[in-house]
Amino acid sequence: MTALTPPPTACSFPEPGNCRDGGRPIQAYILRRLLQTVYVLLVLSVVVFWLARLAPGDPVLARLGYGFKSDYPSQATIDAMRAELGLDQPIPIQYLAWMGTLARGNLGVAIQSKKPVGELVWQKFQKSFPLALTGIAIGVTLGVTLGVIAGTRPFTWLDNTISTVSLFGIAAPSFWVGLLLILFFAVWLGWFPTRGYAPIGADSIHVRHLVLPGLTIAIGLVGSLTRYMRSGMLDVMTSDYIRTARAKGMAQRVVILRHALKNALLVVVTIIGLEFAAVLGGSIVTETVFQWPGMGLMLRNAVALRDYNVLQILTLVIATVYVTVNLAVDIAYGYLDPRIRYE
Amino acid sequence: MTVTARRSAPALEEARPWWYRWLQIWRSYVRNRTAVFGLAVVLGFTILTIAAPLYAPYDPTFPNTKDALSAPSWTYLFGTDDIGRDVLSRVIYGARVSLQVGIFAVLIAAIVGILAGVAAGYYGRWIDSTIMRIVDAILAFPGLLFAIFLVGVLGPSIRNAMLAISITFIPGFARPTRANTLAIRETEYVMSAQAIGATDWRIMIRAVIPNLMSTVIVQLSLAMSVAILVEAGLSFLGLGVQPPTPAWGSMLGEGREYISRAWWITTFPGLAIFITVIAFNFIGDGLREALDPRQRRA
Repeated sequence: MTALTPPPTACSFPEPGNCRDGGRPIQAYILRRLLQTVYVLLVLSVVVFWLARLAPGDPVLARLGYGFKSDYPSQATIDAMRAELGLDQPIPIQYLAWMGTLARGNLGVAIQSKKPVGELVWQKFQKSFPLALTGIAIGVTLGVTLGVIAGTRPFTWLDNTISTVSLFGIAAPSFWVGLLLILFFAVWLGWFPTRGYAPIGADSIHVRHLVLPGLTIAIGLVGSLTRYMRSGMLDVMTSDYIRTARAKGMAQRVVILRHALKNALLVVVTIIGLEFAAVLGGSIVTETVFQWPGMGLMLRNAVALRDYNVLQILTLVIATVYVTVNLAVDIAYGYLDPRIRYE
Repeated sequence: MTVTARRSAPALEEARPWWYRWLQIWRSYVRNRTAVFGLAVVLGFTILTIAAPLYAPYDPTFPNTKDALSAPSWTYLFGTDDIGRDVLSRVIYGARVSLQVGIFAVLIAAIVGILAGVAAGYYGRWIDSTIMRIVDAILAFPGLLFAIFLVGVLGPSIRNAMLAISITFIPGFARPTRANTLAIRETEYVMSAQAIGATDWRIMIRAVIPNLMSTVIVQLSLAMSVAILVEAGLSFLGLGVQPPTPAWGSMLGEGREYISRAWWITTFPGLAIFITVIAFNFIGDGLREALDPRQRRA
């Protein structure tokens, strides 16, 4: 939630003198972050497992078909089924058993389609991934460009316009943005399809389906990215080495592209980590708006169908993606800015 | 002359009533035009929402079937939806849900988060590590995913949506509170309070929490803007308010089916969400400037 406003010191740029790769080796830092990630993933699985037990309804009765058949099963049948499902064990044992089956790659079966959940999630992942990637690519390109333009011309009309527009990206809910895009570009102009998915390889149709949902995710990202990028550029542009570069008589364009942008781009790395939660949340909603058959739509349908098994696995998978991306971002940052390793 | 002046200065400082500081903050706040606009919008919406039954043109849940999907006109300013309910009335009543969830869910999160953060920062040791590990566990989830999961497990309802939103916002209050408490604990006034034998409880209430307030207040308004977005997202997915109660998010969800024939069903509630969220953002930015003397305008 703090992502809405740039932190007081938007980012820390390595001063030229600090850039030497001395001190702690990167390996120790990576190892530390890896251990943290394993810990976080364990906590995640415990939370998901424990909360899923809160779901209303008795899985034993559901298995025995109570509610469809009118007769209430006998206590002996219930006990037998309970033992068969392992539900007579204490919760920690149940958790370990569940983790055991997960580790063996058995993620259970979806209630409606009766297909293995693991296979379904993988199929959906392959559809969600290109969408999220498109969104991030458009979002980063737009956000960096707008941020650099605004940050190098502070307090001009162009900067004010960009800042106002970026506020739109922050405050407009992605499902509304998606619907507006559908309204303008699909319904009124007819340039793109209103919804749905086309497999990769189906000529230009795939790309045409990808544009509007990708743009929707991108707009959610552009707002905050532009803000961070702008304040990052502002910081860099007043630093000593930019003044030196200017004093040497370098052209403004070269100063910005070669010196300022390189350092300000570190912001993007951090933001991808911070905003990846927003991208994931945005894709859940965006996939529903555009009926894009990815993990987001699957999650929504799992909730609607009360398919707790799919819900549980999917939550775990999406959270794992999130945690992994943040790990990758931190490691990348550790390489780019050695000071981070000392924290 | 200079001697008397120097002597009377601290006396003047003491003579100022307790609310003088808040008056100063208020004066600084109202100098900021966008911040005043934000406050006006939120207050205006709140009053409009409370007074909704007095002026809303139609019953927001009554289906006027023969007028279904009619475009905006003088009879129906914002048009009607697929079963003929007045969109304007539904937008007016929908503000109730958004503001309620936004304000209350965040207030609950703030109270829990502040208490947890103060306890963690003040007592340290195992209390600190236990509380902060729980906070880390919440943070490991991307916010909306956790809310969806929790509501999915507990069943969709406005109460569960509020609960889920509250839980996801606790870290946002607990972490800065803990960090500030750690700093405040080391100050001289806390040490002197300890020296004269004040109880921990008294120190936390009288010394620690008042000094946290400026951080918390800024965080409150920003969190409310995000909470309104999350609630709208949950309602859009059908996980928040259940029909027929109008909510901005669910109106967008229901109107999605008719977007090619009736743009008004989705446009107006979306605009309402947008304006409200922007208003809370403006308030947050204004408060940050007003409360932080370094940023205060001359």
